[in-house]
Amino acid sequence: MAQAPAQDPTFTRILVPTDFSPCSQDAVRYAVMMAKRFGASISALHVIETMSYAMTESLQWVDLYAHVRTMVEPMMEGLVRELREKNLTAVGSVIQGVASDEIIKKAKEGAADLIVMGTHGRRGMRHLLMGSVAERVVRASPCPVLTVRGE
Amino acid sequence: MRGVTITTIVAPTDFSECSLEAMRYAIGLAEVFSARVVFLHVMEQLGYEPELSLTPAGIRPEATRMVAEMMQDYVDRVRAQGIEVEWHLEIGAPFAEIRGAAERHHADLIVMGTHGRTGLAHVLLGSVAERVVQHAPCPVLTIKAGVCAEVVKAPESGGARAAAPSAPVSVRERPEVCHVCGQPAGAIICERCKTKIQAEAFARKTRVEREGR
Repeated sequence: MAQAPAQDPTFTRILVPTDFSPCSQDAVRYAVMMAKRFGASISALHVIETMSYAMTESLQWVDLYAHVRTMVEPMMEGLVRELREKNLTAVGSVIQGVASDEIIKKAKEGAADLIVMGTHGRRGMRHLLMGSVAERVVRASPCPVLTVRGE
Repeated sequence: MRGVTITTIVAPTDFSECSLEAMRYAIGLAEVFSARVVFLHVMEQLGYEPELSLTPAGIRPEATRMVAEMMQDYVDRVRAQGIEVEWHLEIGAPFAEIRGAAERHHADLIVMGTHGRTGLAHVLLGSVAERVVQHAPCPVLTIKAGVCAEVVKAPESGGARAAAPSAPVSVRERPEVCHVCGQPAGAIICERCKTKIQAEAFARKTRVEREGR
């Protein structure tokens, strides 16, 4: 019989995907709690979802993405500022793509050892789509995932 | 930004590799947050009619004794580390029991593996973790099988760690008893019973489909 489990698991790099929804904000609170307890750094990530029919690359869509980006970047800067004010090491990034894929990619690139995210973001039809991003992340994540349901 | 904290962790386990790793995370977090850990094992209620000969009446006591032994042994060792810990055994549908336990114990975190016992259990029950993630009354920390394997393999200082994460080692040392027929088997459900269940499930499915027409 082995001795009681030694070697506590620890978290040093926390990835927080956010879509700035209330549920995501709850997730951020949990990430902050974990970061403080474990002395971890936080990497916040927002993915501007690629729309499938944007493949035509018509000018309008390009404009739309540019517009979304100018809207979202200040929000990300605000979040990073807020985290740094809590004396946490934090960086933020905004990328375009398929949310779950980009989250997994980012986690691998940054060698995250914890992902903290909300289970439902901005999409409608909650019962049908609820958590589809979180679900895919939980399934494919290279590291533990802490999912937080909105109130 | 409101602060959040963790005081009670519920950690369901089916003694799969993945949930053993999840148990380690639960303990690690309990230590850091000075939280209480409630381990939970759910004995699945197979949803078959009595005439299908799968009523587990006869085999329950043996399985129960086995689980109790493993749990108590594990919990004793965790308690020796100064962590407040308890364990419960429930009989029913894993998801419902996990949610029920989380509510009853006012859990503010559930820690569990994403993949339990593979194979048949997975086919029959779907992914318990997925349902818990979607419907749990509190945040859920999921630990994935691949991750577990990596962590277990990771070289650590000294050889003392080698066997550490395998928590209740007896799970592997002891020949397991099939949950269905009670005969010794290499897995929770033996091959013979697996085949039987699959056949009966298939028969049931075709019957239900025929009735539905």
